[in-house]
Amino acid sequence: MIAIWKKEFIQSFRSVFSLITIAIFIAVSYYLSDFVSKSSIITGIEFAEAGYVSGLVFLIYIMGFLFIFSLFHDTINRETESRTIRFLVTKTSRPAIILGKLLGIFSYWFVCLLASFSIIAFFSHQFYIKTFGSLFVMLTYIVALCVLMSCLIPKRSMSMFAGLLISIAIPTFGLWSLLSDKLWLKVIKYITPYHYMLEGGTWGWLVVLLFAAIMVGISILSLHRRDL
Amino acid sequence: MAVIETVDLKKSYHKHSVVRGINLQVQEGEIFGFLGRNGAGKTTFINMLTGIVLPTSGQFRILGVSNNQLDRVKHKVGVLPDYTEFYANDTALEHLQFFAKIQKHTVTKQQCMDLLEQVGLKDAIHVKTKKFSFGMKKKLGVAQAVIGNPELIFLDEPTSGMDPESALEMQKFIRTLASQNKTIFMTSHNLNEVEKLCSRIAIMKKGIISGLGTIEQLQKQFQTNIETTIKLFPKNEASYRQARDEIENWTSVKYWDNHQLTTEIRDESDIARIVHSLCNVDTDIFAIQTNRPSLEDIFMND
Repeated sequence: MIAIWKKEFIQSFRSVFSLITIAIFIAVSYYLSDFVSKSSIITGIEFAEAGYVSGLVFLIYIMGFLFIFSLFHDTINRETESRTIRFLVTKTSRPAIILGKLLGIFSYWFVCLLASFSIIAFFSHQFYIKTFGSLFVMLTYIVALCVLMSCLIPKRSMSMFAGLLISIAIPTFGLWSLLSDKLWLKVIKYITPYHYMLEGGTWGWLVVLLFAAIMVGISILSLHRRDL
Repeated sequence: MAVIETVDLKKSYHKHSVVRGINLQVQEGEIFGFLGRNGAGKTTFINMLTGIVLPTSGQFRILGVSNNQLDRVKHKVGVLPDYTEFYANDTALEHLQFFAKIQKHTVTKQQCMDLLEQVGLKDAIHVKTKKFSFGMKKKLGVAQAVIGNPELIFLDEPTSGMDPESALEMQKFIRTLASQNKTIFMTSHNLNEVEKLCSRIAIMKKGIISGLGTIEQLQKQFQTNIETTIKLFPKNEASYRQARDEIENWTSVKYWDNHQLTTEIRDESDIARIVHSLCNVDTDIFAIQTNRPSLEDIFMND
């Protein structure tokens, strides 16, 4: 599992788009922090945290699905499509493959988020650990969904298309459901993470983590019962 | 000790049965050959034993461990699957190091390089696999199967796609592995290779094993008659003709003249009887040659 984790993590940095993604996160953090640190003298220090992290919150809550699905929609199915998974499955267990891949992607986003928060900390002289944690929980949900889709959809082209649809649909309907009383939107409200993260109170993030764990479980089961 | 043991192992895709109940035992230290035409079910059988494909029914044990606990022995098993595609942007060396790490084997860079040299990839150690030919991928496939010193090695057509020289080198390498008391389970379309390498052979036909044993046992199982040619010189032609008529009463004489007698017999013990008949009529015998069916004959007639 550790070898797969390490390989997936290193491989994450090999594509141009992954480097662009990190650059976007770092640039947003840097310029926003620079702006907020200069303007907080006027707006007051109590609004500073919201200002500093607003860029990252926007990037992850609104664009997070798009970033993650663009980069990792084919994490598992590229292995099954090219049949390199046959080498992996003869050497280690199937759950270890899924968990190794997941940890590799988590590590990439951890580094990305840590770099962004470090820049913010440089300007604000504070590390906003709570916001860091809540954004990472949101990322965990998206990564788990991404890996699940990659397990369930055998073709890479299809998972890319499905990922694009999900990237638009979940943020749109998830956030809309928070403002609407329509019944069908209420159902969506309880299956997307926004309600729990934004209205779920102190422990809402635990529900999101539970969703992520369920999705990881389904991913493992789906790979466990399949001929490769 | 049986390293591989299968009990009524079956695999079906929808309603199509590919493997239809195989019972097989492979002993420690054997080079076991698995033969069969395309679509006979060989690869599906190997894929079940290596955890790539799940059996529909039946059971098997690998290194004493049952199929539902296969993960426990994966570090002791090396596999060359039928389809060898690698990570295009990684080099041969990076592949070996990665595969060794997955199985938690402590293998040095030098050991990986030595292994690549042994399989004939000395000049391609640092080359990305996207530049590899089919034969080179096979060699890397064999190298990754034997990295970490496994006890049991599955090789699905290890020499296919290789040039004759490389194929011979690979056969030599497989023999070296066997001399280290490793059990090797291999399939091949090269019957000559199987005949040379394997201590026991199974022939698979339409999902079942139709023949199993050593080459000699298979020859006995599949042969109907042994063709025997005797080079001779009769001192008395009339007596020789009489003897030939007597021999023809209980064998099938295919050809005869004053220098040669070719006949088909049921059992090798019949040769003594023919020699006795010929000697009785004062005929000199220079050579006796028997033609047993080759593996190819057995395979083609099966």
